[in-house]
Amino acid sequence: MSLLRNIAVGLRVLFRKKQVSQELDEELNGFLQMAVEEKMKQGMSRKEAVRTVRLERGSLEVTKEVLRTTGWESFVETCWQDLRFGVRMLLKNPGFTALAVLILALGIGANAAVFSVLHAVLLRPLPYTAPEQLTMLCVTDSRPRSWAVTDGSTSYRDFLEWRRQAHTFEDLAIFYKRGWSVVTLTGEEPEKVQGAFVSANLFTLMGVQPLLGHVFTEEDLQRREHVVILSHGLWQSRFGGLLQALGHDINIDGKPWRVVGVMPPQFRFPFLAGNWEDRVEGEVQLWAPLTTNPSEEPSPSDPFNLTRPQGAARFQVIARLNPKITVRAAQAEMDTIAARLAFQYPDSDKTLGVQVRRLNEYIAGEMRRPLFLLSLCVLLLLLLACTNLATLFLARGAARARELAVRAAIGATRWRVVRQLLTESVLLGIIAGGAGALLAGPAVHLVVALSPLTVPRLDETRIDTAVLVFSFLLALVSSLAFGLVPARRFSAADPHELLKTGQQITAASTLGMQGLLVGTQFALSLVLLASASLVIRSFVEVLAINPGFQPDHILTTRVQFTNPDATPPARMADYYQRAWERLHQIPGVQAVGTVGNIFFLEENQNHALRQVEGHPPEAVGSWAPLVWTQVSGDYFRAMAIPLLEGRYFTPQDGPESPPVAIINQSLAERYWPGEDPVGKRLKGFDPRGRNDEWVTVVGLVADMRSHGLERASMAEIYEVQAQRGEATPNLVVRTSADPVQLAPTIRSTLRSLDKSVILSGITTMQDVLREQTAARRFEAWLMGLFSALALLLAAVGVYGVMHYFVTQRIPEIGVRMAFGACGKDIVSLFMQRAMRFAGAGLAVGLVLALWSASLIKRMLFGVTNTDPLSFLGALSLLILVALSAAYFPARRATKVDPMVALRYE
Amino acid sequence: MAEKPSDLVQGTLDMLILKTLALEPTHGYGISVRIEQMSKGVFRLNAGSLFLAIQRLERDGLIEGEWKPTENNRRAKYYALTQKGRKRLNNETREWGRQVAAIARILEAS
Repeated sequence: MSLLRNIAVGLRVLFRKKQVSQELDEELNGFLQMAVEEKMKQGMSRKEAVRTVRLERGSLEVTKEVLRTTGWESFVETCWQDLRFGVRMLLKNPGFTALAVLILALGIGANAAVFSVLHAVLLRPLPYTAPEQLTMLCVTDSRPRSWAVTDGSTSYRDFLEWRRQAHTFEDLAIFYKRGWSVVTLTGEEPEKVQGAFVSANLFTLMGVQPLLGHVFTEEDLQRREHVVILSHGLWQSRFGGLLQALGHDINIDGKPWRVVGVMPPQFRFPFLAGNWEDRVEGEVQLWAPLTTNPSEEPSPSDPFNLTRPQGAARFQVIARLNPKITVRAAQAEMDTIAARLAFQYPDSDKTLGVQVRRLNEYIAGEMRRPLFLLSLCVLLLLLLACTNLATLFLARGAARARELAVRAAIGATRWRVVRQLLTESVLLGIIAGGAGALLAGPAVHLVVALSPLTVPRLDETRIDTAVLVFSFLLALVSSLAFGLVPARRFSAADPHELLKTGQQITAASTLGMQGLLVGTQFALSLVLLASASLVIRSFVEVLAINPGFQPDHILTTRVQFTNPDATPPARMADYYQRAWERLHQIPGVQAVGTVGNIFFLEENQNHALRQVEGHPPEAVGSWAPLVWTQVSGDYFRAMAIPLLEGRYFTPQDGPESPPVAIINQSLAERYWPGEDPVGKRLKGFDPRGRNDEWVTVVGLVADMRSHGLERASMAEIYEVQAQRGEATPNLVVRTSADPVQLAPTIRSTLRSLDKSVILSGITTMQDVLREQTAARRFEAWLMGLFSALALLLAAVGVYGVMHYFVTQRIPEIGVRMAFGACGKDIVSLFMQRAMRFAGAGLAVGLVLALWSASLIKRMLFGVTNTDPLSFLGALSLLILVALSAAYFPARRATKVDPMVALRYE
Repeated sequence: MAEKPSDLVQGTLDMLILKTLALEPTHGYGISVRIEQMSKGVFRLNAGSLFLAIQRLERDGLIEGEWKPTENNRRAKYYALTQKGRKRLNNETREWGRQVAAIARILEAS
């Protein structure tokens, strides 16, 4: 009650100031009059009475002042005064204000942009019910890579055991995406859509309701019902968003599936993994019951292929924690269960463990580290901006020292002066925060545009309330941070000394502080600049890698059959042959080929050849990644992979002729070091176990970086598609002219050959490679941008300080000049001073930069983390900046006319 | 800031003002005169501390002010005790009595 009354009274004072003040006057005057009259009754004269009352009761003016400054409203009032004064001060010096706002806005804008990315990718809750309870249970495997489960998937048997034994979870569900990545919805043009097979409880566990229809039931699973739930997007594109879709059939892989539900637009699950292939294939757009995978015909006794080795470990498990159970507790329980299973099923589970990971962390995956690094960089940038502003304010504050001294002399308390200075900086900070939030919009666009495709949820980045609040808080904190230094500094100055001697003394004493700040700026800039240089050099190194083929003038696309498992090999071979012939007739086409896989970007397992003629079996310890792929047409010519020995495949290498292979250098060196491999014979390590024939090596080609540009080449064996009969969906066309112009012709030719094949978009090989370096390009761009900003800030900082320093010392310069110092001496005097600040900062910065470079060691490629070029380059650039930023103010000093300067004094 | 009354006065002044007003509503000067009379001149309040205390009590809702004509046909703000003020006065008086008795016992013991 009394708080309310207090507020009400305060408001009355604020808004009816005049009336309140009059009442107070009247009351106090009344008091005085009554006291005087009393005294006069006792026989004093009026004059005498007034004097006595004053002595006894104290001065009424002081009383009034005391009464006025006690309530909260007086605080508000002085704040308002400070604010108006602050605005006046900022307007008085528009250049300074604009510069300060710009500096801070850049810092805040960069932070807001990175925060919005961080928020979208990591922090924003996933659109499921109570998403903080959702976890992924990922299998870990301690076996060597050749055998290990690498994608965290588990077998159905283990899943059932987990579900039976675990008590820390409310429920567990499973799903998988593999094995049915190509789905055709036969409408006008076939389309490839990702699907997921899910257990009946998945949607319920995640707490999502379908927009239309219902989710799967246990019965759907038991009866292996061909039912499907569509994503909102697919529903729109295939059914035009019509309600009739429910209960209708949709044609998938040539079979009808009944639509039983449609998910709401924001529902996405499972999220795309962070690899490029996955991104190209796109989001999961439909969901089917776990038991309905058409490429599998499990027996009724074994509905989930428990016993089939390949079918065993492929299920992803999502689990909802019981409320108030921590991930740590769940982890402890799963550890126990895993140990129990390892004991129970030593054959399959001995090396397996389980890791409980929060769903949002699982989705963000490997992006977490670079994102945190990015946030660290922008925070550093903000720190730099704050240091910079502190320097500028310090410089300007010194010029105002006299004003502040006068304030102190006429009775302003220290706190009052600090408050006034802080009000000014906070005012500036808030303006800059607004400007920064405006800058964040375009900055986010830039980040999203530059970023590699592989960041999950990045496309959800928005400037929302959370981002705005963040920018505002950041503005507040940083303005307090940079305002406090000058405020403390000046409020502590002794007004006596200041008013007596003018400004020189404060000037000299603030210089130490400014030197420190400028030094800090140079140290931070060096850290950013050196790290950026390392990152950019890594990027350049990666770009300079010879991929092992000539990526210019190549077009590539993916040609898939609607149901590859049901397409006879002869039909595929026929299509490839006709495509090869027809594409060859297009003017400008030089070579055409197809291949199973051009790149193998995921971690590859270690393998060995099953048998090499004249060699003992290879010991498991020396196994290394080894890949097989099939080619048809002029694949090697189209890619321009050089032939080193032997021959390329010819049309004579057909199904009836003896099996042949072309191998790459890595494989030749592994099995026949120093020998000519042509004519040697080998047998594959064929997991399908259907090939027991000797394969003769007919050619040796150069290595290409098929394992990703940054990884060493792998041993590779190329076989002929016509002999092996597998699909070779990747088409490669070498052109003599600009490949992009041929793309439409090639596309229509392929389409005319067979209406039912699925064509992906046609891209140039250079774009494919660019995608592989996208992450590095992103880092290099951002780091380059940040360090350029840092450089700019450091230059502004040192310029500001030197400018101010020169201004302060004009009289001294006058004296020196009058005694015969020439311009050169003066310039060198100031340059030395500037270098002293910068030099100390750079020395500290070098240590910090070396340390931070060791932190990003793993991100580097082709340069060591102590790369002298990067460090010396950054160092000399900063020295150059310091020198030139100091030079101009210093030269101004030499223009001083000694007469004017001395009169100044 | 202006001179502050000592802690003792600060603590007790509020109580004294409340006591004064418990007898009869009066204006600022009236309060000071009454306190002076009742204390037989021991306490002479200066205007600063008096009005500061009045302002505080009014904001806390212990007293209420109202403009009224005085006997000399002037206008003055008369303060009266509120319900809450009366309760506070009772509490403080009791507490004060307890403390004084305790201090007296200690002093007599030595």
